[in-house]
Amino acid sequence: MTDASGVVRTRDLVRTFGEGRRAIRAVDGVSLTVASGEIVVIMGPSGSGKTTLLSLMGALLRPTSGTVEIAGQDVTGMPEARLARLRARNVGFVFQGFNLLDALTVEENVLLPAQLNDGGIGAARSRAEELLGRLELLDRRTARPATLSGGEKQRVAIARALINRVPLVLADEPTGNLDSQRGAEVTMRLHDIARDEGCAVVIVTHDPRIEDVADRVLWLEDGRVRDRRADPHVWVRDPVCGMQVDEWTAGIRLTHAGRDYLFCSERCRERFLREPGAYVQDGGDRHRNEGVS
Amino acid sequence: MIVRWAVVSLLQARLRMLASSLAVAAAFTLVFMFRAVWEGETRQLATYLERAGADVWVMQAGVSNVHMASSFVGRAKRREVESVEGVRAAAAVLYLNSMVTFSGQRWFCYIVGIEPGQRLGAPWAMAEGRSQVQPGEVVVPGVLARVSGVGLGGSVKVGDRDLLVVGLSEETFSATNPVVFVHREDLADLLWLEGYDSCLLVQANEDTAPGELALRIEAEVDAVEAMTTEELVESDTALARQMGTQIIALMTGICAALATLLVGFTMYVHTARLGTELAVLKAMGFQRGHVYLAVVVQSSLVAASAFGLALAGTAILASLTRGLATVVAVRLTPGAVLEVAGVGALVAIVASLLLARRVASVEPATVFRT
Repeated sequence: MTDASGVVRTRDLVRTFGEGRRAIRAVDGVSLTVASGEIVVIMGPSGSGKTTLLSLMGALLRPTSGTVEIAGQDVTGMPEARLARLRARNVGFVFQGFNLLDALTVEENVLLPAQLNDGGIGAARSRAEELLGRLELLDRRTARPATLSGGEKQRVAIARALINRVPLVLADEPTGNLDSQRGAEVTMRLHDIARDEGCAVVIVTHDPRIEDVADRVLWLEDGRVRDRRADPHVWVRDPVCGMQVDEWTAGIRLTHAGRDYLFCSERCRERFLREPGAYVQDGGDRHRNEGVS
Repeated sequence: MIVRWAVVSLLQARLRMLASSLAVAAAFTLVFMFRAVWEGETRQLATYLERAGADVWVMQAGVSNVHMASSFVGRAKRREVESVEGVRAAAAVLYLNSMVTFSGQRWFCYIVGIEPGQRLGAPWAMAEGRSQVQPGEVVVPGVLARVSGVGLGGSVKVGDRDLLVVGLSEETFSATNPVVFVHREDLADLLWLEGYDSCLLVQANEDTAPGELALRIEAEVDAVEAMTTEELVESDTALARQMGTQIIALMTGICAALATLLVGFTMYVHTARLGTELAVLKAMGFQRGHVYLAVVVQSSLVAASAFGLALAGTAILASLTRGLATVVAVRLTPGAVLEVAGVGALVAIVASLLLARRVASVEPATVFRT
C-alpha cells in the first residue's frame, strides 16, 4: 500500500438494490482513491448513497459491478472469510451510534479487535494503553459504555478503530449524536489521527463543521460523486424562507412563470405553490432567487 | 474476549436468563424425577432377592428371572439340591404375581408362599407382629398397611380368600411390586398346584463360593437353572430397566425437545436484542465461527444453569418424596445425573444449531444503519 496507489481505491463502482423497474442504483460509477494521511469527507442529501459507498469501501458490502481495492488487495470477489480477516487488519470503523459492546469495559472494547490480529490481545495492551491515554480515557478504562458520555463513547470507538494500526478508518456520521462542542472535539481527534497515524480517514457526514478538517470534500448525489471544492458554490435564496441554498445541490425545484425557483425544503415549495404571488414581487422575488438559469 | 462478551451480555439479561433457566430446569427435573422414581422402584424390586438370605437361587431350566416370570421346580429337586456338596441349607418358596385387595384397594403384589419356621425367603425385618405365617394368615408391608388403613388383626383378600394380617414387614414395599407373605399351602391351593415350588433358595457353606455352587448344582441336578443372588438381582433389574427404557427414552425425548425449544427461543430473543452487536463483531472482522461460538457459549450457559437448578430441585423433591410419600421409592443415580448432563449438552448444541442460520444471516453492513 502506497500513497500513489491509495489505501482504498474504487473503480467504476456500482451498487444496485432491487431488480427490474424497482432497481435503485445507490452507488453509480464511483471512482475514488484515498491516500494515506488523507481525510476525505463525503457529503450529500439523505438517501444519496453515502452509507452504501462507505460499506463498499469497508468491504462490508459487495459491489454490483466495479472494483474496490483495500491496502492494495482487490476485495471484489474475495471469499467472506478472507474479507473478514482483511477488515480486521486494515479497516477501522467509527459509527454514529458508537456501537460499543455494552457487556465489555472501555478497555475491553478497545482491545476486542486485537484478538483478530497477530499477537492477539496480549501484544496489544501497550497500544491500548497509549490510545486510551491519548484519547484521555485512562481513568475510564474499567467503565461500562452505559456510564460514558456521548463524547467519551465516540473516543472509545476511535481507539477501538485504531487498535490494530489499520491504514483505513471509515466513519459514519461520527458527530451525528454529539453536541457541537463534543462534535468539534471528535472531529479534531479524527484529524490528528489521520496526521499522526498516517491512515486514510473517510468520513460520511451532514455536519458542515467537518469540512474544515477535510483534505477533500466530495458530494454524493443520486449515487454519483464529485469534488465539491473543485466546483464553485452558487448560492441562491429560497423565495419562501430566505435561506441560502446551494444551486448545485438543491434538489427541490419549481418553474413558475418562466423562472426556476429553488427551495430548502418541500414545505417551502408547498407554501410557494399555495400562494406564489406572496413570494414573487415586482417581477422579482421577495427573497431574490438569484443565479438560477 | 468474545467468550467473556457472550457470558457477560447474557448475564446482563438476568431476568430473561433466570426465567429460561427455570423453565428448562423444570423439564430436566421431570426427567430426573422420572428416572429417580423408576430407578428407586427397580432397586426396590430387587430388595426381596437381596434380603431373602439365599446365596444361590435354583429355578426351572431356562428361567433366569423372578420378575415377570414363572418357574416350577418339582419338590423332589429340593432333596437333590440339598445333597450337592457345598450346600448348607435349602428352602423352597412358591410365588405368584397377582392382585391383593387391601380395604377395597387392589395392589399388584408378589405373593410369596413360605412354610412355618422357614427363615430363607421369609420376611427379614418386621415393624409389628410376627414374620411366620400359618394357613389363613398373611404378612403385609407396613407401608401398604398404613396407606390402606389395614392393621394387625385386619384382613386382606388374596384370590378368593380373606387372610388375617399377623405381621407388618419392613423394606418389602414398592409402588409397583410390594411383597406379601402367605402360607405355602394357601398359595398352592390358590394355584391348584401340588408337588411343585417356584424356586429353591440355597445357602452355601462358608468355604464354597456361590458362583461355584451354582455351577455345581446345574451340573448335578437335571433341568434346573442355578444363579447366584448377585446374578439374579442383575438379571431382574436389567429386565425391569429394559421394560422402562422406551418410556424413559420417550419422556427424556419430550423433555429434551421442550428444553431445546426453550433454550432456542431464549437465544433467539437474545440474539435479536444483540443483533447490532453481532453485526459490529462481524464488521470488525470476527468470523461467523467466532460469533457462533458466542451463541454456543450462551446456550451452554443457559443449559448448564438449568441443569444445576434441576439437580438441586430434584434433590429437594426426592427428599420431600421420601419424607411425605413413602409409597414411592426414589433413587437418583450418578448414571442418571450423567445422562441428563448429556441431554443438557445436546440441548445446548441443538438450540445453537437452530440459530446457526440466524447468526449467518447477520449482515455486517447493517452496522451503519443503527
